[in-house]
Amino acid sequence: MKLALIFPDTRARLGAYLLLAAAVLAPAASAAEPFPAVIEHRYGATTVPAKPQRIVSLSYIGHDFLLALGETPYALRKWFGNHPHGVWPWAQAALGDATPIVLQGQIDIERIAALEPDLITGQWSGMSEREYALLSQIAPTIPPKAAHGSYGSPWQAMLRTLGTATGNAAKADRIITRIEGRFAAIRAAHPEWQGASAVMVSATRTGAYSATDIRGQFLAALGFKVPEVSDPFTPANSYYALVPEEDLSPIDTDVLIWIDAGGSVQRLKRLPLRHTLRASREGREIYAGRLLSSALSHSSPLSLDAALDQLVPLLEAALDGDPATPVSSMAKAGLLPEGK
Amino acid sequence: MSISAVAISPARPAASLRGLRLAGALLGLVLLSAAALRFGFRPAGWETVWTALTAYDPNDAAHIVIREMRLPRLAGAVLAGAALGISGALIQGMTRNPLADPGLLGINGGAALGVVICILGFGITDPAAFVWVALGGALAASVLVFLLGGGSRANPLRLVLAGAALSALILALTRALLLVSSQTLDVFRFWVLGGFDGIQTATLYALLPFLSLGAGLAAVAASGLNALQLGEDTARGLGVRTGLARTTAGIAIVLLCGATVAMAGPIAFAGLIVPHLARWAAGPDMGWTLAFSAVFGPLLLIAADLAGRLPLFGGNMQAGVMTALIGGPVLIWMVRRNGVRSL
Repeated sequence: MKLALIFPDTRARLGAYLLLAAAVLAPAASAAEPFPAVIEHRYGATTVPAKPQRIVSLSYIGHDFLLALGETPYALRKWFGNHPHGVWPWAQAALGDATPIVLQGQIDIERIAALEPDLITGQWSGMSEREYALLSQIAPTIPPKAAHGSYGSPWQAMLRTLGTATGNAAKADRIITRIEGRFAAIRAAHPEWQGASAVMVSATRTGAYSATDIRGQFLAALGFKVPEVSDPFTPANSYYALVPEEDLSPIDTDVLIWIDAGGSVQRLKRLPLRHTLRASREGREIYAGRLLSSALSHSSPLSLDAALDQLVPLLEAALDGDPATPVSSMAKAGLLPEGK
Repeated sequence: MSISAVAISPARPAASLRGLRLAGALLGLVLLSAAALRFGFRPAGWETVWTALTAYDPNDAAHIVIREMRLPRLAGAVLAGAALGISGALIQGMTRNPLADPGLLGINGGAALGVVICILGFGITDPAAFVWVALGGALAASVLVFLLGGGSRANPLRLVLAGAALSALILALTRALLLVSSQTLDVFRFWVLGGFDGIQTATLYALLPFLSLGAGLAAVAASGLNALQLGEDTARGLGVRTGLARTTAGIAIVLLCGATVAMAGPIAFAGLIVPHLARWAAGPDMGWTLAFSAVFGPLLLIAADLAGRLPLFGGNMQAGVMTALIGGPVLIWMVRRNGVRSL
């Protein structure tokens, strides 16, 4: 059927063409329209009505993710370290001259209300259901997804969620593709790492980070197998388990990465059974000092690159099959046995 | 009172019976020490214990566990147990308060504040580095408590009140600092439970002079405290210089507890329960009470440390947690059997 037959008048015909075009294009346009955005999570679902302008980030690491997306949080929650505005060096460039308000300690509902946010993000914040209920009355609030637990959100999921909530979904996908590509390239270049066992262990308390922890996920992304170490006293804490100092066999892996956010080199030196570990005898230990261990502990789109830059050469030295090759970070910390 | 209750808590046991009891307790200490070297998270036989002590192989994991880990822990538990037992008996005798324990004089609180400042201000997280700040904090806080409590003329009530008030103040300050930093909290929460893992032989040697001096002063103070148990006026009438006795006991308490908290963190409960067990076994004499406390304290702490290392508790439970788990039921049993002596 020809439109010209129904609408003989040219102007009316033109109008009909426009209407038809609008009808065809409309569904596509509303799919690309990012708001309102709906985000499912452990306590239900949250609707973000419009692009947020004042974001309060309660996640200990979440500000890195927002900065990676080009969003500067209005306020952020400092984790540790003495850096300006609680932002570590890898995120300084993205922060630029911005001066976000720094929150510290427990979640302070009153203080957050006074900030008048229009979005509160809280994956990796330990926010309880009660806190969520209160925060939701202040602004749309985003806790982690049910599957990930309080501190287990994989960086991809976390970035994707924040991308959706801030209208940066496409940008989030681009970042994920790039970083996953980098991991894939490293995996391809190191076939000997695939299936080898590896674990990150806190030097402060000899506690192993499990496969569900973001540090465990990082190792898995490089192809390593992370051993399951369970803590009989806090089974609910699936991220971290203390290893009995009388028996370190649970962490006797092909490569052992000591995580030290500061001040535990002396403790490592004295740890009596360390020298009986295969990894120690064969030069397959890695010492991750303050910056590297913090980059791993953040596992954010900004810190992952910094972590890979530093850790990959150390892994190569540790796993080159020659016990004589010194791992530079171990030598620098003075942790190599005498004569090496 | 039933006959059996009388039998277990005689008012004045025969001297020979008392000596026999002390010998028995010492034998128990030797046996428990041997068990502490043998049992733990990692199984070992008697033969391994013996060769680890006599023909040490630094590459044998089992030898390392016994010689480098269990032996220093055992020594730490013996010293800390004796120190806490003696100082607990002194402070209960001095204040004539059966609920008094070393934590009351601000010693633990002062040490804790020192450790928090050390972590927060200087980023030091190595427990071995806490020794001197903990000792400094303990000494400073306890001197303050003694001054607030009236110095050498301190009356027991004023002393206890000053200690409670200052402890509360220091605790509030410590908590305020902890709220600022989650990292500090993580290291601190293990230190504050108290325990002997990772204890250094060098630390033990460094603190030995403080402990010896404290034990010596405790022995000197014993006769004065004995007289004080009869009441202030009677003691004066007997020619005892009560102020001097109290000051000597006070210095002994501070040295013993300060060194203990520096070595192993604030171990709760041991200083409270051990003197009760000791008085039950020793009778009213302060000298004998101190002697028994010096043996029962190690017994409790070795048992607590050993239990915490058993796979049953994950091989990692702090001795400071286990003292109350083990000591609590013992105290309840004593109370039920009328074994607790009033002061």
